[in-house]
Amino acid sequence: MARTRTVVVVLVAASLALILWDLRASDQTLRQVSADVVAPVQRTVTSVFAPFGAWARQVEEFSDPAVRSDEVARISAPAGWATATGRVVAADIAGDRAVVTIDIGRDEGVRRSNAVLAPGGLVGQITAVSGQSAVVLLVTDPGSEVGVRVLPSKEIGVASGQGMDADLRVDFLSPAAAASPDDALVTLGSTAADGIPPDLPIGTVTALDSAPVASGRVIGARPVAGMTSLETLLVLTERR
Amino acid sequence: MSALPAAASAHAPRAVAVCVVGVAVAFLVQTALLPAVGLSAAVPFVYATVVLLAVVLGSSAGALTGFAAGLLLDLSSVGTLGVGALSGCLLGAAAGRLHPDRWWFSGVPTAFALVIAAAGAFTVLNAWLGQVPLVFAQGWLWLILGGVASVTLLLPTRTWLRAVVR
Repeated sequence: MARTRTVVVVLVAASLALILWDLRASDQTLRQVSADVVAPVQRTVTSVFAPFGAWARQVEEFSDPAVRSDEVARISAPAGWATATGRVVAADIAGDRAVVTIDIGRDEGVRRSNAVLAPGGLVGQITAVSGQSAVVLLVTDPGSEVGVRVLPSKEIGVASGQGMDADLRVDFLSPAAAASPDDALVTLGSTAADGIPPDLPIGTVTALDSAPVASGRVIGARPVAGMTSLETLLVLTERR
Repeated sequence: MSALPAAASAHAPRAVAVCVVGVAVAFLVQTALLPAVGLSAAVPFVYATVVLLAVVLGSSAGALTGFAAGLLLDLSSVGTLGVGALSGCLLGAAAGRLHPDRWWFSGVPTAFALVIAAAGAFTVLNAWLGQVPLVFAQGWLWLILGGVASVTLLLPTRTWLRAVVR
C-alpha cells in the first residue's frame, strides 16, 4: 500500500512538472519526434479500416493515383499558390476539439499557419508540423478564430468554432451588419506568404442573431465541409 | 480480490509486454481506427484499457501504465503535456482497487465513472490551461457513451488477461 502511494505521488509530481514545463517552454520537439514515429502507423491503420467508414468510402479507388488526383481536383486552390496534398490519418481525442493529423509535413513544404482546404473552401490551418505529418486546427475547433467577410454586404466579422461538427459562430463588428440566410462567408485573409489568402469560401449563413450580445451581431454559419468526413486535404504551402 | 496479490502473482516481463502492446493498440484504435470507421476519437478507449490493465495488475502497475498511456495521448494532442499523464496515473491507481466481479459500488459502475471522469478531466483541464472555450456538444456524448461501451467491451477479458500475465 505504501509502495503504491509512493508510486502515485512520484507520478503526480512528474505530471505536474511536465505541465509547468510545457506551459513555460511550449517546446514542440517531443511532439514532433512522437508524430514522426506514430503518424506512419496511424496512416496504415486508417488505410486498412477506412473501407468500413465514411472517411474513405471508395478506398480501393482512392489508392489509385488517378482517382486521388480527381479528389484533389475538386479542391480549388487560389491561383499563384504552391500546394501539397495530404490525407487525414488521425483525430484529436479531447471532447469537442476539432483537430486532425494529416500525412504530410515539413518534407513536403508544409509550415505552421498554412491554410488547409477541402472541396468547397477553407477548413482549417496548420498549427504544428513534423517531418512527415502536420496538425490541422479545423475552423470548428473552439480555439479557432478566422476573420471573415459576408457576401454580398462585405461586412467584417470573426468566425469562431463551436465544436467538431457544430456550426460556426460569427461575431460582426457592426450592430447594423447586413446578412441573410444562405449568404456566403469568405476569408478576410492576409498578404502573408504562407497564411490564409483572402476570399476563400469558409461557410454559409444559416441562422441570424443566434446569440444575444451587447454590441454587434452574432450569426450562425455552416462550414463548407463536414468536419467528421474529411479525407483528402490541400495545404497552401507558399505564395509563388 | 485485492490489488496486491494480482500484482504480486504477475510475471513481470510478460506484464510489461502486455501493458506496452495493450496501450499501443488502444492508442491506434482511439486516434486512427475509430475516426476511420466514422466514430469519434473522443471515445476514451485508451483510458478504458488502463482500467482493464489496472484491474489485472494492481494499483502501482495501473498508475505507471496510466501515466505512460496519458503521456502518449498528450504527445498526440494539441493540449498541455502532462495533463493526460496526470489523469491517467490517478485513473490507474484508483482502478487497481476495483472489484469488477461485483456489481456494486466498487465494481463495474465505478469503472464507468472513473473512465468518464479521467477523459472529462483531460478535456476540461486542457481547455482551461490552453484558454480554449469549453463547449459541450457531440464530443461529450461520444466520451460518456463511448466510455461505458469501451469498459463493457474490455472488462470481460480480464480473466483471460490474468492467465496471460501469470
